Amino acid sequence: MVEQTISLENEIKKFLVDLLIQENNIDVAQLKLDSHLKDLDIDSFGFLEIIFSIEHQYNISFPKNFDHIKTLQDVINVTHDLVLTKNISV
Amino acid sequence: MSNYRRVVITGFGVVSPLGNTIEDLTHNVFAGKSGIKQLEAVFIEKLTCKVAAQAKFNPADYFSKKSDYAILDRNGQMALHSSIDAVKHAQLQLNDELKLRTGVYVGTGMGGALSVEDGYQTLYTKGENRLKPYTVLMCMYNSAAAAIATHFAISGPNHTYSTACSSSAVAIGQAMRDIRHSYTDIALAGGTDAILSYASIKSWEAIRTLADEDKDDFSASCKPFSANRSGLVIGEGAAMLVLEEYGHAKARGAKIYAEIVGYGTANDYQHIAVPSVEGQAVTMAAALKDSGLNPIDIQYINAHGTGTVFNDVTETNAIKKVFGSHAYNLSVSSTKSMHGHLMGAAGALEAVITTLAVYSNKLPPTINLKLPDPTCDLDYVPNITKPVPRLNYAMSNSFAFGGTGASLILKKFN
Repeated sequence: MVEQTISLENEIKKFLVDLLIQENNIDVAQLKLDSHLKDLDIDSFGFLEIIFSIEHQYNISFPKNFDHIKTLQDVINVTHDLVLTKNISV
Repeated sequence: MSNYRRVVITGFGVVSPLGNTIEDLTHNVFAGKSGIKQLEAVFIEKLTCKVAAQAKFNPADYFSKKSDYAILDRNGQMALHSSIDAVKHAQLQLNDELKLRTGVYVGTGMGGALSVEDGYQTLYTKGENRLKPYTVLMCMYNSAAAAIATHFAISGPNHTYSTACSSSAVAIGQAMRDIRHSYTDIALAGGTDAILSYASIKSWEAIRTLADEDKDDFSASCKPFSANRSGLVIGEGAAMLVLEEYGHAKARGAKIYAEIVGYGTANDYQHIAVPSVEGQAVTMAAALKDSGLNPIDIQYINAHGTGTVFNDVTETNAIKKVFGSHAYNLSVSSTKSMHGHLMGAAGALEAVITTLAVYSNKLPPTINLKLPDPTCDLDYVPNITKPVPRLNYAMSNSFAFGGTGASLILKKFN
């Protein structure tokens, strides 16, 4: 279970990094997990696009209020928890 | 009239089936080239009419960042690019003071039609349960105008007009009035439409106004004023003009392409889709009255000229009603024979072409006019451009489903 969780987290991380590189033209050298989204030049609408792609990929729904999601690690954590919750409820 | 401020055209930009630069448009329209061909689309086999006038416009080729265009429907992308080109063409520097005195006036018949269809497809056909985050912003009718105003950080009036096929002629006319009456000094005015999707084309098939394909030559499928005309060919594109108060343009040494001296708009109430001689005549007469000119002053009319059986004979008779015997002295042409019907953008593209005509003393042709129709008996500038010694005044007509007509009168700038 622990291994599964780690691999899921890595998979989400890879998906997010690929997305940022491909869709947002963000330099991979700039990417750190504690990077704040606004420092990566991702505004609130850019963030909506990222959420849209993640929701589509994992068939989950982000909370309506996402003020607490500030860093890439936050995005990964929320995604991870939502995917696990979905799997449990299924 | 003499109390009004004068309004001049100092620049324009286009995305059109005849090219996306003024140079290409000018060359093609006076060379009598057609931008109509077989539609490139995956649903082509399901169409009765397989020809269209597509614009060769891949946004990635025109914007440096994806984020500059990914939040816009194709109609907004084309309008924004045209506006940027128009401002460059006018060599206009929009400083902070000027941004307060610049307005945006955009006409569009169908707004974000492609995005609306894409959204429905995602939900109903693909069975998905969520839409792209920008869907509302891409579908709303004022999306293109908003993108332009945001790009240039403009805070003057920002208005969108939707009157079907006369939308952008109305936008230009209303912008001209706002400058005349000092509500603004500069206007980015024009129109945009991108509706070459399966559902939109099917809706035009349903109302039975589309041309039959010319089997021998797809590019010749639109035949305005010809005895064998069979309907319109849908086009797509955008055209934006820089309108400027004359004193302002003069003070900055701007090149002036033409002056807009008349705008008339009137409603053809008799039927939602069938034009009437009276409705079209009252529109042209309103423009003449607004300009203070006499009918005999008009030398050229860029006709609405869709190529439908109804429009072309109606417009011919409306011209006769307004201009009397002078109708046989002036020239009329339908450039839709080349660039197709750009829907809400048609009036703006045709205003640009009429400006080019006035500026260069050349009347663009009605191509594919090989079989004269005895009920359409004016000079339609058949097939080849006609040079004239001096083109002082020209009119551009736009009529529409729903009834709103708009005529603009352009004057050669001295």
